[in-house]
Amino acid sequence: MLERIFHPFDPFVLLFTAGMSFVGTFFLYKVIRWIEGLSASDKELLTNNIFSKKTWKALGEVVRESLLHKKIFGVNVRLGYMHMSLAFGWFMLILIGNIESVYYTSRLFKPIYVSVFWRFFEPGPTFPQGAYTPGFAFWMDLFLLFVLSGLAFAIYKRFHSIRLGMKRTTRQRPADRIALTALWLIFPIRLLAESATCGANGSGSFLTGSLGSLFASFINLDPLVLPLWWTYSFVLMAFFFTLPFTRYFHIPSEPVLIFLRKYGIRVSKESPGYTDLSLRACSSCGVCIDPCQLADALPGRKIQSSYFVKTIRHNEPSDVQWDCMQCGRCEKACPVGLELMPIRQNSRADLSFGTKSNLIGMNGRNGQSHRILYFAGCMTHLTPSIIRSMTKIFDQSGSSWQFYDSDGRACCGRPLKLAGQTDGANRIKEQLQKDFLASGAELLVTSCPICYRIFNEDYDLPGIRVLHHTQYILQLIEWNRIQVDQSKLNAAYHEPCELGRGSGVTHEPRELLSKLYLKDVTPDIEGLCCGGSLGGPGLTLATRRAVARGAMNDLSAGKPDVLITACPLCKKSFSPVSDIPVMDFSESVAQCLIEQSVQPELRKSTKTHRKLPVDAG
Amino acid sequence: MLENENHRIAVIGAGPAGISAAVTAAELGIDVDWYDKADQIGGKLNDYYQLFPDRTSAMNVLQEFDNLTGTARIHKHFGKAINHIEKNNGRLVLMSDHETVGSADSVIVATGFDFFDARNKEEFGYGMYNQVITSPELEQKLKTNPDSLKFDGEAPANIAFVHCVGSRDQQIGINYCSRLCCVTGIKQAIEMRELFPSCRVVNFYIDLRAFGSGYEELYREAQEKHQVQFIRGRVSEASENQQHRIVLKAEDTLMGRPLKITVDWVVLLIGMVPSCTQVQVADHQCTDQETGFLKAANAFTGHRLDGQPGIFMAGACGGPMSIPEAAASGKAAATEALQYLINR
Amino acid sequence: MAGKRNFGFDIQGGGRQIDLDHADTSLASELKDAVNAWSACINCGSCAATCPSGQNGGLNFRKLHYQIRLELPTLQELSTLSSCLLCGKCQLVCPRGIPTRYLSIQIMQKTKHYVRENIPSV
Repeated sequence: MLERIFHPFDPFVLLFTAGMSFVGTFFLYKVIRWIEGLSASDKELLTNNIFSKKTWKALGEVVRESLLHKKIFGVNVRLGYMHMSLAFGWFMLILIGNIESVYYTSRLFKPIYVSVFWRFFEPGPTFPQGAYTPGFAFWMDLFLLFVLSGLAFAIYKRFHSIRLGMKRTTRQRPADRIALTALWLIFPIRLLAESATCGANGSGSFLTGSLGSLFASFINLDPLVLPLWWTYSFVLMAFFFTLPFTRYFHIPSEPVLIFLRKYGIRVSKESPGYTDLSLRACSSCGVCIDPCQLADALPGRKIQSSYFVKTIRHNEPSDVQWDCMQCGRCEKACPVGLELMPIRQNSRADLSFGTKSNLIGMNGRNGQSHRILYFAGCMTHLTPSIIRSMTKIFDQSGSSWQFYDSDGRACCGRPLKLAGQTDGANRIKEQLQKDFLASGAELLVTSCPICYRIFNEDYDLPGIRVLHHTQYILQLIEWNRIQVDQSKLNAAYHEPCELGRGSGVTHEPRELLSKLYLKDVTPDIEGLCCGGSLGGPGLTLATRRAVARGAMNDLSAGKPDVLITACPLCKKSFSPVSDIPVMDFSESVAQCLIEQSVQPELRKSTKTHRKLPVDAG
Repeated sequence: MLENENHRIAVIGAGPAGISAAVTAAELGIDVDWYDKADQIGGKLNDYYQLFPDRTSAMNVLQEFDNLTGTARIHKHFGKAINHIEKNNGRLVLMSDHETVGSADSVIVATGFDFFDARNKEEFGYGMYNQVITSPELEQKLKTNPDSLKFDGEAPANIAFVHCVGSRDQQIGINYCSRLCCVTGIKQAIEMRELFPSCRVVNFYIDLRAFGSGYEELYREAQEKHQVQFIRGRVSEASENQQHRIVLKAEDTLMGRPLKITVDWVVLLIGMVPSCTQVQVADHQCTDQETGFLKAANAFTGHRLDGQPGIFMAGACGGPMSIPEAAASGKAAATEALQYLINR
Repeated sequence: MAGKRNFGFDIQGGGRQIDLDHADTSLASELKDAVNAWSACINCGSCAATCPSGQNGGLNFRKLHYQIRLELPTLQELSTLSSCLLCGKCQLVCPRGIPTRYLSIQIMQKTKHYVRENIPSV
């Protein structure tokens, strides 16, 4: 009898083995391609870190995320349980199955199918010298039940996804459906096959044993055993053969991604291998769909990341990608932590129309040297009250300042970058950098988060500190350079995508808000997009208004008297759809400023001007 | 003509359309209950200086109207804003802030319009820059205090009129044309040139709509006699220079070149929007979904309000229109109301 | 009297005359398909007025679009789009709500090769 254990074989195992070998080879091939597709510096990061502590950390993350799906529990407990039970449950089945077979064969290396079909080769207590113990059987049954419970959730989710916390779930492609069917069949059939064997042999634990005895009581199980194991092997093979071509390839890919990411590799145009790996690691879980505000404004249009990733994987770039507002909400929600924003941006065609960026007029704006350089931003000229307010604040604070783009002819270059025109953006950057450095300023203050972000991320400005005007104003208040009266109203803050998620400036605006208003009634949700984004050029005005209205609705939850923004584009997006006043921080501060006489030598020199009309308006 | 001499018509609104409706109804022998939220007749006619196309004094026109309204059949109930009309047993009940104020057999709604709030086009800086004013504000100044247009006793040197503010603009959701702003701009440009002969006046337009009787002639007069400069190009934004004067950016589309001009006054020719104190009728939606103005059941055949037998509309509450048009509309509505009462 | 008289110069066209009988509107058709609202332009000039590059010189946004609608622009005219900063101000001021920034991107995509092949300095 031990003979069978030491030389286990039956033709049906060939199906599984073929599938497993295929998947294994394919995976190995992909890993090699991914590593080949890394830039030289990324390859260095890999080789330098692979034998460091980071590998252990990555292993920890693999357990936490790929097996236990900790992040998905944060979205919804049932959803987390569903993913965890399948992943962790299956992993434990394989692990314990392998321990079981190693324990009894005393061999570490044997054909891969042995532990998978162990119950077939070692059916139970009728072979007294056999390798069956109730102990192992119990644990196997427990984890099988665990997986099956998750499977039940998964089937339920297909029909009632809202109960698992997802308003919408990804619609599947044909290949995905085949793989899904195979996957869903694996465990029920395993249950049947093992139960049949246990029933025929009086073995098994609380699940397989009981089921087996139940069946054995009214049918003869012997002829059913082999066909069931054939079926089991077949569905496993079907799953493995389809896996590399479907979303399920994320199962082996995600751990690889976690390791490389831990070593410091990031998405970049120079490492297409890493981008491909990221795309393969997307499990199409669909958690990114609900946070996307366009899911409501443009239902049915497959803009969201889980669809986008598929189109890139299958090489079908479409115009739909131009609708994405690049707000980053999906990136924030992604349980795998994919760098969705850089991937999207890199996939936008390199237009390289060769922006000469006619820079006449941007040159030589210096003149005298002032400590602060104010860059309003091109959009801000369409909300002139922001400029007026900042002028008042600068003057009141007694700062020595200069208005760089007072004629509205400058641009920071980021809109070009967002549209894939990196050459043009760089050319502007070079010109502006030169001007900024030559101006002698120590501080660069801007009213636009888009400008702020590129000045911070891409511009090289040694000796100059870049601030968004909310940060600057907060400092002025804290240093008592200006005083404000607190308003008796309640205010809600709309966090601009480029300022909050985009640049990490989240606390200062809130602090400033609480100094200016009686109560901060900003709802506790992930920052919304106003719809005005430059990242989604393909959107129509009607869609943008719809997004703004939706966001306004959410922001009004705390019944604010006024909506405060920190971006001219956001202000322009909300003003037409808001019943309450929409104000930029600067306007609010200028309104509440307690005016006082300022020391003359610090005041900006004013030239002679025409007096304003006596009775105006 | 009327079997029941106790029929009463209510006219809501005492602007040009309301005046015309009330007077006509009274002349045709019906008693009129006349309401207006203000204490006197005239509506916005009280605020105007001269009326296009021949620059008749608005006050004279108002006086003429006033003379007609002295008949005994007209019962004035001014100072009351009717905001709701309910139906009760074949009669129409008029309510002001949930209080019943009166009832009638037929109602003519002539509540007029509001001007567009120019603060909603913030790129022009209205409300922020003192020298940016609206066309009605200019009318007021011309009527009561033309000297307020001077700077330190000196005449302004440059004035710009901006057409199409608050009309034909998807960005603010008002897509229709307000019809009368262009000719208003032409008229006011002439008035400014007459008031300040040394001042340059420039009108920035997209399409010049001078469709009415005498309007095109006024346009020519503006060009030829008064040397008003018309530039085809929509102003995109206003900013303030170091001397606190206003700088406007536009494109001269006929030349195909961008343009800037520094001015002392910017007059925004604002459009007409539905009145915020528009009357609600029972629970019925009688407004046009797109524009918000009241809608006739059949604009080609009459003034009956959509879906409301016995309720008629007159004047600018149904859409932008001029004073003669509103007056004619008021007369027609009164006649239709009478027909309705006869045929009931 | 019948017969043509030779006035000594060619009055058939060429030079500045826009010949709508033989206009190449291929680019216009492609843009109309991509952006339906493009046809609603009333040539008000707000876009050209607010354009930072327009004020700097070089790019007249409105005029370029009008030209494309009439007939395919010259290479020189098309290459002025290289001054476009894609800032999006034009889109914010357009009274017809036309996504003008997207149109810039579309024109760049559709004419990139055409322009680059013929004006290498761009």
